[in-house]
Amino acid sequence: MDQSSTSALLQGAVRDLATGVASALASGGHDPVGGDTTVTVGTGSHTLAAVRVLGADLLLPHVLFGTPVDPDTAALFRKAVDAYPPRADAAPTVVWSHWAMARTLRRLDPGPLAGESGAEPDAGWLHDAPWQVLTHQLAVLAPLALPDEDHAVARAARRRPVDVARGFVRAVRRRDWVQAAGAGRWLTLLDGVPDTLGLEAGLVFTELMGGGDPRVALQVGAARRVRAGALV
Amino acid sequence: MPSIEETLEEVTEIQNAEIEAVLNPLECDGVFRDSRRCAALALQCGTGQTLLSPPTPRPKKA
Amino acid sequence: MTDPRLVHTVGVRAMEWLWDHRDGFRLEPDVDPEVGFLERFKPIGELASICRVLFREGVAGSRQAELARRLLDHAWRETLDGGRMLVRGQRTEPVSPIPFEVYLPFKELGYSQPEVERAALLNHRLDSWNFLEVRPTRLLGLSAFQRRFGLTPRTPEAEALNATWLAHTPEPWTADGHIGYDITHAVFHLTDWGEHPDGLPEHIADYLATWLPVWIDDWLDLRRWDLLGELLVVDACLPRPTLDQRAWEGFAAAQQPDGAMPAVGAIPEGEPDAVFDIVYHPTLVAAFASVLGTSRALTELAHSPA
Repeated sequence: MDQSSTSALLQGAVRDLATGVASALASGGHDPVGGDTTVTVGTGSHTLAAVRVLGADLLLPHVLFGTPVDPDTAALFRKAVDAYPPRADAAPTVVWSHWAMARTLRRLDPGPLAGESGAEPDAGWLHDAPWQVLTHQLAVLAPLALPDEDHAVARAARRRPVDVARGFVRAVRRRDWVQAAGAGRWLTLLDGVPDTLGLEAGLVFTELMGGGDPRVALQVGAARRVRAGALV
Repeated sequence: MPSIEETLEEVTEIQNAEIEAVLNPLECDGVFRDSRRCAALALQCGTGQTLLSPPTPRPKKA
Repeated sequence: MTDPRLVHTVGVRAMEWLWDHRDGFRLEPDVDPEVGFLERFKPIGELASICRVLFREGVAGSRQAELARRLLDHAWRETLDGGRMLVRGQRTEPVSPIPFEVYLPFKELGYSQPEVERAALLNHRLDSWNFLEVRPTRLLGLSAFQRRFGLTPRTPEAEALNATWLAHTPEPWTADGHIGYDITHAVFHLTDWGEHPDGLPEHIADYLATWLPVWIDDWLDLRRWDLLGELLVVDACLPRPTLDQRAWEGFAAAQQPDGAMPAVGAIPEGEPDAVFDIVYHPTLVAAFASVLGTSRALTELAHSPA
């Protein structure tokens, strides 16, 4: 199998999903999200894999606005959770990403979950991480950045707001807009962020510079919504 | 010749590995960065300051 | 904890290079008028300011202190012809602040040139000299130099500061290379080149403590050694210097065996004179950063619990 073309296909499928979610966030949930996934992205394993990669954020508009999830999307989401459990040696971000999906499922579509205990994974790898690594990892786990969360990753972020702010600045300077947007989303939720950061303008800047990438648009849109306290 | 089940398993395994790689990305090199003018500035080591200012032209040899 | 010896060694080697290449600090008496006679004074002023720092900090070690003294004597006696070149500079371009700026560190070290001093007093009275259009950080520097000379600054330092970028503690994610140098120069002038770190207003010190680690990370990543060196000076001026270990190790690793510090990336190749012009500045900066950093590192050690 040609790995590079598969990877490009997977990334493309993820972007398509992200576009839909970003639109739904921007429109305030008035349009259904996810209904087009099977049509837009195509059939087969790329769709499912893309759902797994986008993770909990696929259903973010429903979490934020309380709109119902259509049954097909819910089924696809559940299927992705079941089909791609973290492997034995999976990295912490993989484990947490899966945990976030499972938890989203429990919230929105309670049902029997194969082998899911709900227990939090370990977040020790963040404790002594240098601020550069901390921010990078938090950005990868942006789907976990929601108001009023009390899991170990959120606690790790809350303990180090200045470090996350530094990581945001660094990401912007490196033109890593996806990381900047994810970091920015966390920052909107944290206390103790330095005033001099200029976060709001920084998010607008990130969107201006990187918004062509739907993942950036999604995270910036999420940051706006979670700041507005749209969590239902 | 592998069975269909084995092939599908291999496909899923490859996909899971790929997904996990995407979900655990290494950081890219900074893409940036400053314009050529800023790069030239780096060689000038600051502008317009009397001290810690651009290197001055080399005296001509007699 | 960053090894103070690593920090110290950068300065030792930089000073050896500066001494070996002292003839590079050369004026051009028969210069093309387009270029201007005063252009080549600036490196000499920088050399004098930094050697003054070496004395002041008192940790240079006998070899470094000796080299600093010898460099200063050489610059004053040979390059400036006992200060007469400054007089000539003043007479060539009477309204230029450069002779004044170069003279001040020498004066503070005990050298004297009466005609330059009289010109300084006159220029202090001139509205024209004092309202020359210069960049905000330079104006801040000129006001600070007037104070150090014993004159009341015509533009109060607080007013000059307020026109600078740094005074407004702007969005840190906008800081590019130009802004980087504006930051460092403002700090140099606020602290009298590290002599008075408490010259940093509290809100600026807090701002720098927060964001300096990011800029240091940035310029280290980009191998911009000259700007990184200036930021390491700024770090040493903070109430609680970090002496960023990764940055100092990278900085030290970039230094050449002969003590030269490249400006960006690798050491340039070419005619020795051309290389000097590119390299003297980051090497001076390396000596500066090393002296201040070593001083702070030793203070930290002295104050840490046994």
